[in-house]
Amino acid sequence: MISDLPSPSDEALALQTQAGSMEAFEELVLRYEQRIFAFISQSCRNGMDAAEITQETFVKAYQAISQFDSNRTFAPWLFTIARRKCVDHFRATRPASDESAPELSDTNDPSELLARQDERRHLWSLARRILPRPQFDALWLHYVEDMNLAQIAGVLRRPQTYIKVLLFRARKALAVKVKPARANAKLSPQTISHAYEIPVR
Amino acid sequence: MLNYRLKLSLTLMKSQFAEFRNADEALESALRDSAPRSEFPPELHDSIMNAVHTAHRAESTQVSDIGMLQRFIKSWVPVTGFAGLVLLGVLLSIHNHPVATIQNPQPLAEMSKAFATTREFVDSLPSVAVGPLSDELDKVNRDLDRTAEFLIATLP
Repeated sequence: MISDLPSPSDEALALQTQAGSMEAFEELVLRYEQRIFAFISQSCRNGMDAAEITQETFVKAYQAISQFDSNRTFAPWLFTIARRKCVDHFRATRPASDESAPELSDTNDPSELLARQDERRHLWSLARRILPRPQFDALWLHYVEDMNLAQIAGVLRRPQTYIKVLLFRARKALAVKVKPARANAKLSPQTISHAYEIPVR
Repeated sequence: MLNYRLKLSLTLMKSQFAEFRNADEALESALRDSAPRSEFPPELHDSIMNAVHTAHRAESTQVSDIGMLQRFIKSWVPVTGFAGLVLLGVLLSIHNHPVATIQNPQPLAEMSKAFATTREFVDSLPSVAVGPLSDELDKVNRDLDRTAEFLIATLP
């Protein structure tokens, strides 16, 4: 059935799943498993946890597929489930005060220093460390998943204006932390890690 | 002089704005293109699909239980509903049938007998006793006659 259509849309595959096609759902899993895993991995450092939450996300999506409205986009619906699963997981497994633990670690610790060096290379590692969770999620969904404001608002269950503010604050916070080494307007994205340096404390 | 200063500050503002915009654009493009790649565990796909199949089987079992209940309801509700409707119709037709009251003349006979007895009793009273109250008795008789007429007229 799927082979007849060269590249069915996600929504079409969701409709086929609603009609009982497990193959269609497997195709959706193939399309999204890496993206969902990457999104969840940003929240939990433990790969095992990320894998478990990814699995739970797809099981939940399968169970709730009948509630999916095929007139809407599939990706935000799936990411909404993933985010909710993440929140549930962290609420169940650790106390709320643990969120700021990496910030309080010793700056002379070699592993911490290595992490800082890693941040030089990866802007997203810095974003993950300094931004509050909703700001990070909004940033990720916008720049990595290429979602528009309405779709992000749907995932985070917030008004679009709030998402705009979240994105603005996130960018501002990153811009403060990441100081341009040279104000060159013609920077290519490939050389961005060399163009920015993180102020040493 | 003032004009020169204004021009200078405007140029400065423009260059600062351009710098800010360029920095923002560079940051945005960096965010877009430097997304970290997580190492996807190779066995995770199979694990996901196994979990989904398990959920599907569990759902099917639940659905079959619900299906049995639905089949039972579907097969029995129309029969019992139809039987109930028929019974209700029969009961209503029995209660509203006009012949039912006519076919039972017992109360009518009893009422007419009571009226006749009263009249006979009044007629049989001695005239000495009845004399002073004759007008009243006439009125009572008239009332009795009217009541009887009214009752007969109201009967179906």
